Amino acid sequence: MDNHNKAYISLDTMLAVIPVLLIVAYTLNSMIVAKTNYENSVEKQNSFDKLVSAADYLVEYGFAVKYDETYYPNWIMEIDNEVLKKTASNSGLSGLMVSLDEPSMQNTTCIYRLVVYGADKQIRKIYFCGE
Amino acid sequence: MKTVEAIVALLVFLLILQLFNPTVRPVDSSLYQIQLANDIWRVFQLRGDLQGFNKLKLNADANEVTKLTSLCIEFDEEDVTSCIPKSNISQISRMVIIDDQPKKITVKVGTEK
Repeated sequence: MDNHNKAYISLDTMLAVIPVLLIVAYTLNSMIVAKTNYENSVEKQNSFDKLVSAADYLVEYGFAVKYDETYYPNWIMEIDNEVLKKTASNSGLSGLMVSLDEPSMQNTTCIYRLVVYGADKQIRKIYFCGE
Repeated sequence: MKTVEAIVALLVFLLILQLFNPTVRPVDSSLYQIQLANDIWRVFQLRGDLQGFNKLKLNADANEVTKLTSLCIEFDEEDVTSCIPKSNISQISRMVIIDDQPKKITVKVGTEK
């Protein structure tokens, strides 16, 4: 094999390494992105599920009207701050806020539930926000 | 020759990568939607709309809920509808007494679009 041919084969091999390295780099990058997305999804789902569970407990028992040892789920007279504090600490959420007015908070997950409020049983939305 | 093969392999790889592009999964809120449908039923119950199955009161309260939440409510086979739900539908079935007869009715709740 003459020198000209040897040089060609060396250059060809050298250039072929670049796409192979790119394939390896893209593969690693995709794996990292997929892992990060998966972790974020799981974290989001977890905190959403905790918020939904906390809201469900508060609407059905925590804030619900109680007459003669019977709970009336979805009927609320007032927001009991003691119950809210206890539920917040037990739910595993870093913060739990409840409001009858639309919250102005951004970057916080908020959901609402439908309730009847007060003695006149007005239909109201009750908002739960937390992370 | 090797360079050409490697470039072809890279292009094929990039095409496959496009197909398996990792995306963030949306939050699954199906349980929450069922809870909302139950809320609507309980609101009707607490406001006495289901005593005697008062369709006037049910329609008025269904419209009130739609005004508050933008959710459409429809009772299957009964004349209670605030608007026709078209997507994100959750439905619950309940037994009620209509004209002294027990009847199973299905409530559909969803967004209009």
